Amino acid sequence: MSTRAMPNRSSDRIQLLQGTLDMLILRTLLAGPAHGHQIVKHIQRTTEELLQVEHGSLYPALHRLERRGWIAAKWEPAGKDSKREFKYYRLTAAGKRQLGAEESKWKQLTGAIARIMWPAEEN
Amino acid sequence: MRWWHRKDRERDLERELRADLELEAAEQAERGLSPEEARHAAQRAFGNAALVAEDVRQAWGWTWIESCLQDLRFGTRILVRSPGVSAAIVVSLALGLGATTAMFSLLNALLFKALPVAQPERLVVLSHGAGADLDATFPYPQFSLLRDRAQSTADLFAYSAGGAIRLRSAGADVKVQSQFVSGDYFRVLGIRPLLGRLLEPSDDVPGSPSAAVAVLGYRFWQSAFHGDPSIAGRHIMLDSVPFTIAGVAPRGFFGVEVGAYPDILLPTASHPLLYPKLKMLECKSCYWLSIMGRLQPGVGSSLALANLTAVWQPVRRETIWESMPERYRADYFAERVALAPGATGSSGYAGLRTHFTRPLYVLLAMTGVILLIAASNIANLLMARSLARQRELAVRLSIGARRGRLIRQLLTESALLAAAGLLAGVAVYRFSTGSLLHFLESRQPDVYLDTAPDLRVALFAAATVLLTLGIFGLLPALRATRARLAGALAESSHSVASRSRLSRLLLCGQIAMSFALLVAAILLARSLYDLRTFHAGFRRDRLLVIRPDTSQAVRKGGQIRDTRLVLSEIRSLPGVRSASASIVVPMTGSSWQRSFTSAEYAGKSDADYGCYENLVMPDFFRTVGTRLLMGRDLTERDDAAAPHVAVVNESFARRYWGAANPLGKQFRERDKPDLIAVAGVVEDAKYRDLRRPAPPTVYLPLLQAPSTLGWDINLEIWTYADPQSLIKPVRELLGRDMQGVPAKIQTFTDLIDQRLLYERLLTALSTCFGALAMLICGIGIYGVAAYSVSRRTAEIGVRMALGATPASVVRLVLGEQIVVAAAGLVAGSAGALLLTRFLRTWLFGVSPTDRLTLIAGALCLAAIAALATSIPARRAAGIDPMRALRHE
Repeated sequence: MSTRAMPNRSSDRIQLLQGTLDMLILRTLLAGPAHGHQIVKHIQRTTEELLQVEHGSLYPALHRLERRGWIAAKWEPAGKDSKREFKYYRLTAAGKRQLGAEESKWKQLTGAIARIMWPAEEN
Repeated sequence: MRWWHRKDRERDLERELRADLELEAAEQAERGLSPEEARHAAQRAFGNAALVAEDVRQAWGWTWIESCLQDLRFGTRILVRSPGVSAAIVVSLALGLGATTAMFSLLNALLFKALPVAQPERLVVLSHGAGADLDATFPYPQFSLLRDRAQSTADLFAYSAGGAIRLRSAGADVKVQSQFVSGDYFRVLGIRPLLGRLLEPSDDVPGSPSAAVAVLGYRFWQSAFHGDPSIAGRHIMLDSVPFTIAGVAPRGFFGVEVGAYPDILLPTASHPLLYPKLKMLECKSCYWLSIMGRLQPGVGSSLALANLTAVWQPVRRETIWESMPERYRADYFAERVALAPGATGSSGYAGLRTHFTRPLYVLLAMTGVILLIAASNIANLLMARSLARQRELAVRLSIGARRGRLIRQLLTESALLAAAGLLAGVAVYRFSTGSLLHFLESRQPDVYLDTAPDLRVALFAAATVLLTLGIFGLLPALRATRARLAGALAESSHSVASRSRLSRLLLCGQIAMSFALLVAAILLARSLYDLRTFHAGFRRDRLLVIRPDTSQAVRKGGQIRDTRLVLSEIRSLPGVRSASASIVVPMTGSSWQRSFTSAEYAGKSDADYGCYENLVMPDFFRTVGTRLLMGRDLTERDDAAAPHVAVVNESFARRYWGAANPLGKQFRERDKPDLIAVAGVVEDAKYRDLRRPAPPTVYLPLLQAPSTLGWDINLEIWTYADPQSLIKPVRELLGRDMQGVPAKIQTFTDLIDQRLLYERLLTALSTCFGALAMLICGIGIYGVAAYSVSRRTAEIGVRMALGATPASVVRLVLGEQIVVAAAGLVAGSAGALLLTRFLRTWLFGVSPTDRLTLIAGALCLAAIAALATSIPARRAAGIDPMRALRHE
């Protein structure tokens, strides 16, 4: 299972690093509970459609995170007047800690990559 | 999350996916698409929903357990859906597996199982001899010196089967199998008493009165004393000598001799109490004790042998038999001492290991063949089924199922079958081991084999199942899932040539193996029939044999007169045609041998003078049915006062006088001057082995034998009707005449049957196996033919629509099988030749390549094949063309 970044007009797929999707999901949920579809849409909108999250990757990731206790799920109606229910995921305390950890790891990683890629800017 | 909440989660997942899908569709619809288009667009965005769900399930973990459970459930459903095929597979597996394991467990008990003692791997068995010709018995003086001098190398102990002894105690009067053991026996073996105490070195002091103690074997304690817990200290009489019971040996301890289980164990020092005249403890030429030992810690077997060899020659010098003739001395001192591992016990004199091992190997091979036949059946049935499911599998492959998953599914089904087969096989195994042992024990009462299944048997069974289903289950699975999607989907169930080639090959092999087994069974059955019926020089039926155990009786000088009296009384019983008596009853295995010579004869070696001998009462030949060819029978007048006469057989006459008329010719024992005249000549009669040619035999009048006879005199009675009916009156008569001397009364047929124990065992079992093979093979042929008909339904329909007659359709179906059967028979003939080579020892009067047997076997199998094919063939002939064409 992997997250794939899909440039809008290109068929080339950029394979993102393993576990990135988990981090993105956790970060999305930091804003508040959301169901699967909302999470997909949110990621797509925020990255201006640069990252396409496939359902085939999203749901397994959600269930995996739930199993680890980082997120919790509950069936709730979409709004006060709506009858339709969706499975809303929200961040747990453990999930917040995990998000923090992943964030700092990610920062270190991107920092390290940046230093190799653009050494001139370092100075 | 728990995997057993799976159903809820499954529903939850479906709901979640559906909700999001609907939302996506709703959003698409908002953009102005029609509901239909919106739904399609949403589905496109989602991708393969089933695959998404499968991936999520993987994220749940536990998937392998779940999918295994799934496989199990699905497999069970599939198996239950075709109960006939499943039952056929389970039954063939159970039969093959059960029979094979039963044979193996007997072999295991006979050869491989370690003795039930502490550290059996440290035990050694002693023997002595020159070259490969080893003797495993020793005189007592040699044993006692060896034991004392080899102490630093090994703790030696001795034992010897003591034969049957009469035991009397309060409430018990039975014959028991005794064994004499040295005082160290139990201590060295590391056996602890179940009750009381076991024998100790202090019990085994020659000459001491305290030697009159006995230890009971567990089985005997149970059967004769019903497990009486207060048995220790009880006084008993052994052959009218008082003994005290010291204790009881633990359950499962049968001694060190595989195949035997002594009832009672006595110290060697008590031997003189029971048999004072034999003086076995002093006798230097009586080889009667088997010696085993436990190596001292740190002593390896090569060091042990070196140490023992150093001790051996002095011991032999000191214990040499004083009156040993000079010519034997060189041989005596040339003998070396030898050591063999003793972990699995000694072969002993029970003879079970010596005589039963080879038949068991043959039977194991036969059951192995049965298993192979069953396994090819299983492969064929599985293959037919997986082909029937080809479309299902193809569909599953095409919607994204992984091949491994499908193979696992098919293997799960095999495993289910294996489990069922294993369970049923255990039942078959228990039944066949039990009945085999029962068969042996009922014919050979002293036989004991510990066949309790151990790890080795369990591993054997497990390996057998795994191999059988691994190979024969995996093969069809691999074939069935071979990715030929488009082909499989398009061609539906038409012509899958390679499969039917393989299945025909399997079938051919099956027929070949069944044929080989069948031929073996027929050959053995014919041999047994011949052995039981051919004219061996005596009659087989209407003959009653009475063998009194006179060793129990007070031996009076007047015994022969008594015999005459007994005979005349027996002759007056209603139903008796004639009666006689002899020292040796043919076929009992006992023999008397002496060297005779005549003035006309000059033999080269000692063996050329060796003859078999029997002492008989008058009327012996008429009674046992040996034809008198020349001269006269022995009569009452040929007694001690008359000149020495004899009746000889043809071989004897031919050896000593060639073609000349032997009547009146004289011969004598080699070292004695007394001449004996030939009074009559009888036909050659087998002496103790039905297979060997009759040896030169002399029949001397019992009435002329020296009066100091201490031998058992046996009686033979020729009856008008069933000899069984005379057993009771004869026993009553003997009860009066012989003062309570126990006698074994049996028909001659039974006596010979006892000698043919292993032939009968082999024949009975191989007949069963042959029948079993035919049955399994028949099922196989039926299965393949039925499958082939259902596969070709459409084709046959077309043929019939075009004018083929039902008869020609039957020919079509039969023809296909006939080719396979014929090929199988040809291959089977080769297999039969191979298999029957190992049977040569047990064959009699028939060659392993006997043409009649081969033809009979072939006809038998052809009949089975025709029968098995006729059902599907009839079904094919009844196919309705219209229906058949719509069939696809």
